[in-house]
Amino acid sequence: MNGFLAKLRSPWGLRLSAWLIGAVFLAAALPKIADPPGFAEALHAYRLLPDATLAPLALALPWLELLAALALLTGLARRSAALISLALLVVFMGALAINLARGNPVDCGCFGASPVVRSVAERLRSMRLDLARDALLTLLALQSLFGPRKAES
Amino acid sequence: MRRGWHPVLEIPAFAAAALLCAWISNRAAGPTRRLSWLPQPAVLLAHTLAPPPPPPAVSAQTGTPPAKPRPEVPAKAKQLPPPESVNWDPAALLARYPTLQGQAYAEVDGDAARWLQLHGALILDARRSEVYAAGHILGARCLPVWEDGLSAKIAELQAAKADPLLPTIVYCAGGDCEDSHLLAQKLWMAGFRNLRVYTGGYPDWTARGWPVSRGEAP
Repeated sequence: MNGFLAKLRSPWGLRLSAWLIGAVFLAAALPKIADPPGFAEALHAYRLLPDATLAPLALALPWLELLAALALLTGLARRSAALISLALLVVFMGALAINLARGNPVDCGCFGASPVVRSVAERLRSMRLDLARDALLTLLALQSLFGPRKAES
Repeated sequence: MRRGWHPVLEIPAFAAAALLCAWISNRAAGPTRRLSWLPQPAVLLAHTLAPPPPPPAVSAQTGTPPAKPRPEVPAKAKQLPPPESVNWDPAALLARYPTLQGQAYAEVDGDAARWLQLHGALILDARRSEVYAAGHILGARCLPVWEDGLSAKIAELQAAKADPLLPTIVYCAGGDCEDSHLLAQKLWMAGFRNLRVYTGGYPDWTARGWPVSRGEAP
């Protein structure tokens, strides 16, 4: 176990986790950048934000995801990008958890608007999976954030 | 100088760059993929089009035909050119679905929507443009509630002489789709006073085998 942890904290372990988060954020950002109205609609379904904030958020948030993804993939400003992705993941998990608790079956919207209409049960199950995936990514983001600095290694 | 971590500088830089990219990409986006940064002021149709609604002949809550004689339809009640198969009858429309009072919209089922379509009521599709192009209720106009330019499209209805006092059907994808209700609220603010939300929406319509149309034309 200690060997595994040491590997995780090695420069390659750090790079690998940063790349994983970066790849997921990249895949999440591109469809949303391509279709802001669809993302605004998804945000509206969460019933958490005032209507006036939906459009600016739907426009800017995917770009923040994309820039964080690019930073994580290239290693440029890696820690700041890890902190941003960590904050975003915490917010996403909170939004999903609140709506799961409400029993409000939202389409995640994480990777763009869902192309098919899904049943309530399907959406609730997929929300739990999304939550689990975000939790995993949060751990990776924490590792990127608090792992040893490249400059010191 | 040692490479350090400067979150106080870097994180605002990320945010600023994201805003800049979003602004540029939104400028470059096509009309169906664009959003307005700020809420759009409501279009007001009522003040240029119709006088305040006359008191309805029957209670606004009843959806059944009244026993009383039909209320007279104002002379200006000239509507969009209805499709060929439609029996355009504003008097019947208004008699069966009088102007609503004290509520922004009422919900109707498929049978009511079909009856309204056959009598030439205005039908508005709140779904996305591409979904509309893939198939919509015959005669429905495309008013995607989430896309930019909704205000312009509402203004176009005015130019097309849509009467905000005649029954107007609004629909989206059925299920727990809220777009039709959102569009109804916006249309109410624009002066429409006889909005009927078809809750079954497009899936219900196609399941009943009623006529649809594809492409960008109604």
